[in-house]
Amino acid sequence: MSIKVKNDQLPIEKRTDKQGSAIQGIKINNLEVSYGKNYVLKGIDLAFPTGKVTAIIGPSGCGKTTLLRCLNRMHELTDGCKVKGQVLLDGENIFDMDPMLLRRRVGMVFQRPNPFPKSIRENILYGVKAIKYKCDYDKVVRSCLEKAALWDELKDRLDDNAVALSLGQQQRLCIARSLAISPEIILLDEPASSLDPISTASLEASILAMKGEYTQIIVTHNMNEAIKVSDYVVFLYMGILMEFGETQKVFRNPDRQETKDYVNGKFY
Amino acid sequence: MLILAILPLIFLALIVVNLAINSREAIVNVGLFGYGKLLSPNISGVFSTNLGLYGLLPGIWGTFLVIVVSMAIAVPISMAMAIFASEFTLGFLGKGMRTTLGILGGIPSIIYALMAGVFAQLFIVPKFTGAGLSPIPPPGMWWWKPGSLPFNTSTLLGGIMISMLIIPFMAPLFEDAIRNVPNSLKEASLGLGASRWHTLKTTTLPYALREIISACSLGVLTAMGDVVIAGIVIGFESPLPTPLYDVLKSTAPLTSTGAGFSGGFDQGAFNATANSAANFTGLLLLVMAFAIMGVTYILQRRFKRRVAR
Amino acid sequence: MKINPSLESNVGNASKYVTSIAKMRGSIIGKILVLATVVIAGLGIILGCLSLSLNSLDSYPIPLLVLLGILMACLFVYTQHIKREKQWGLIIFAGLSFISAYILRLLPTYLYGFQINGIIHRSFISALLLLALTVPSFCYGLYHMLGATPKAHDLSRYPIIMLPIVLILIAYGILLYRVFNLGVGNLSWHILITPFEFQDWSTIVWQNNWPTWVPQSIHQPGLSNYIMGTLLLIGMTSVISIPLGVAVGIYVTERSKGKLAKTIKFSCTTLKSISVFVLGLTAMTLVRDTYGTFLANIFAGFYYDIQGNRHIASGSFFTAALIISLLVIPIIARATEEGILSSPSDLKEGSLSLGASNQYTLSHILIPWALPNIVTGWLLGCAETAGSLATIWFISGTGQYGTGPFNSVTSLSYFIYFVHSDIDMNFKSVEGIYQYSAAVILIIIAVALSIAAVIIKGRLQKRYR
Repeated sequence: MSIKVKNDQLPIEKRTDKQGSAIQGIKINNLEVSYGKNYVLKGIDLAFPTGKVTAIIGPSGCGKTTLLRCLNRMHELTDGCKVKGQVLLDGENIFDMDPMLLRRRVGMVFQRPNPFPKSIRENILYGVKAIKYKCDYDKVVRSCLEKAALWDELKDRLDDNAVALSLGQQQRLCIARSLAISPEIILLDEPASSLDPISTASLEASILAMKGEYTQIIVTHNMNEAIKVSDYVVFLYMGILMEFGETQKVFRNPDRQETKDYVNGKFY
Repeated sequence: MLILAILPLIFLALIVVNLAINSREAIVNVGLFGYGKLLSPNISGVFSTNLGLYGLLPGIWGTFLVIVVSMAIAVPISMAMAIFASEFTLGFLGKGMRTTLGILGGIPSIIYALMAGVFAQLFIVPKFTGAGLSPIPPPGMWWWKPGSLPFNTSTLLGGIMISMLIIPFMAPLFEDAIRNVPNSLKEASLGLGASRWHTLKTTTLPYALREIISACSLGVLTAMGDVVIAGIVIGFESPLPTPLYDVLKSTAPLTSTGAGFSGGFDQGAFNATANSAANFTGLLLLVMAFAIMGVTYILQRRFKRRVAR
Repeated sequence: MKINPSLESNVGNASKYVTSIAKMRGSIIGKILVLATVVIAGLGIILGCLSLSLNSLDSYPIPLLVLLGILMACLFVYTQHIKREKQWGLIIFAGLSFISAYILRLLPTYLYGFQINGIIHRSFISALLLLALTVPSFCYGLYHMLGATPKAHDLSRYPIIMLPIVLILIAYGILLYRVFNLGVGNLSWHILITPFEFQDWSTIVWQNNWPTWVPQSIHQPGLSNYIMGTLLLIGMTSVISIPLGVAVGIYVTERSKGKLAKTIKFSCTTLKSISVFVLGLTAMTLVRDTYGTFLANIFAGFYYDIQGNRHIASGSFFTAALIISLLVIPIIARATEEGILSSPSDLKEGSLSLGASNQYTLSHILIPWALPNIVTGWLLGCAETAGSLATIWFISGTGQYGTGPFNSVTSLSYFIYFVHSDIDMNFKSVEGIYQYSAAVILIIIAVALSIAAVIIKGRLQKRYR
């Protein structure tokens, strides 16, 4: 299993997995993450709504990036990281899966754009070629670039080196690249933090356009961005899940005092 | 992948085992201590294996002399080049230095051996031979014989040529050592108004000492192991010089002594015991190399504790 | 890290220094004295460097040292007058110069004694003394001429650094000039193309109805088989060592924590540090121990001489390439390791997050990134192969019967060596004139490879990301 061609074209709420049951998305059960003796995340219980954009907010060092990286098991690249608990993707525990298969279903966009020093076309087709998936390469390139709102800018330059693009274009290219393997879930780790305001606006437009088709989880420092793009918000503080709810509710009428202080800018 | 990667390890083990096995015959037949045995000082200048003399102590002493002479010349010059290229650059000349050294490093050692005569004529003959003196021995030098003065082969000359061999690869290592000192230390010192020279002496060099020591040890190992220059410029077999520190006589280091045992010039001669003695020489060289690596390791650990991070 | 505490006390003195030297700069006498010091000390440095080689400049150091001593004494008096404090360094220096001048005057032209195998000429001592005394005074004079600021402190230290560099560069220049001078004259296309041949044999010829032995010989000087030998050696060594070196490098980076990886790294370092003599011995053992068996054809090589007889040679290219590749593998492995480790970590993360396996990431992202490093390492290994003599000098032959993987191994460096050594063979006198030409060609090959490696390494710096 990896790519379901026909299922792809459905919005994610309507997709089904192999057994025909509805896709349940990611559910976290009692996750605990520690680096050596320091606990970074404690007792996280969370279910990310499918097809929507969820923003994870919180002050620096509260474990947002760690949580995100656990979701596609990128935390295993750092030494000394111990994880307890379960993360279920469609009912399966991801820690029991093959990590490569997991990462084909859960894609990631990093904080600093990291295109490969190859051509634009090769960047996008990298994941497809890595899993030796036979498809129409040109069609894949075109559809990914269109979803990331880059097709008009780059359609004549597909063989140019990707590193020569501007930072904003590189970041959108990274998004397009991760779309090529049709993941169900896309994780974005502070995607706009290295971008200028105009590129940020295009990025946010891309995120909004991908709603419904993909589940997106975005970590952000910027509360305006959270308000603009997300449907749901998770507030993490000191490694503990403080609040989870719809964006409007969390920002206007939060349940907890800490959330209220954070969104009002009392601490960051 | 694993199989391919293990091959060098296997080959090294095979080489060492081969050395050990082949030298067994020499240890058994010739013996270690006594007149003319291995590890004794008795060796003649030519064809000593035919005379039954296999002494290797002169070889060890020769290696030591060669290392001392070549490092005495190479270390200050490499240090000067490293400082020039990293701290006291004159614009593009600093980068040009690295390129030049890379190019000079490609010159093979046989060329240095060939050209040793030039340096002998330029430096050793005017200064040390008394060229132009009459053949009557000067007063007080009762041991002087015509032709006994250093002309084309001497340890000093060998040391000079070996130092020219190792400078192009030691100087970039020194330069890297100085460059790896963190900028924050240098800026802290310069910000107090100290000159760059003072910063270099008191802050940068002590910090870089660890890497400098490892670079020096690489230089020592190369100087010790060079057989071509040692063989052609210094000679293949020679006795201990009468004042031990005399670098103007030629004292063949271990590498060329071993080469002398196993043929040297005349490749036709194949004497099984001599060949085995040559293998024993190789074993001694291995032991010396490990000793130097051990000393470097100890020194590095000492210096690591001194400098606070 | 504490900044050197003595630095703080110097800071206080700096302001005092500046005002006093400003006075020195201001007055005419001070200016003249400092200028004179610089000039005399500069002359002394040049004289000292020249005396390291020439013997005829023997009468100049003494007056120079005396002048230097006088100048130092004058400076001492002057600074005492200006600053009301004595700079003892100056008077000590003046004393040292006077003492050395006196010692030099006392020494005879040739020094015997010390029981060494030589007579030390006086100019050796005078050159050393001159350099030891004039370099500090030159720096001192330069420092004051430039205004005694910390910047002048730096600028005045340049002579200490530049002197050894200039001397050694002159040494390399002399060496290369001499090789090219002697070698280029004899180079010609003819020499490069014809192979070397020497044969002595006798055939039976009927003369006067009686069979007689008539000696025959072919003698044809030429370098082409040596050049072909060097190139073949480089090629075969590359073929063996590139896969092995890259494999070792990859293995050591992938599992850098494992014990096996550390042992492999240590064995690579050891292979580089044991003398090439040991490797040469191993080559010889390989050849001699397989003598008489079938393997001798592979390791010792075979050739057919002019009458069609098959002989076993003294060592084949295959053996030589095996042994030399033991030297080259650590170079390539180290280069691969550096290349992979220098790749930015987000490239690897980006690839893994797309679901690619570690193997795929390695072959499609990391190795292409490390490729310039690998090529640099390979070129350096080739330069090392071209110049290697010690590993093959026990097993080499003249290579006049053809150059192939199982023929007698030969290379340019071996040619230079065997012409140089006193082998009593007939062709030595004729071949001798091509020794330097062979050296020129060898230098060109080795240096061209090194230049290529340096250029690629320089391009590495300008790489994106």
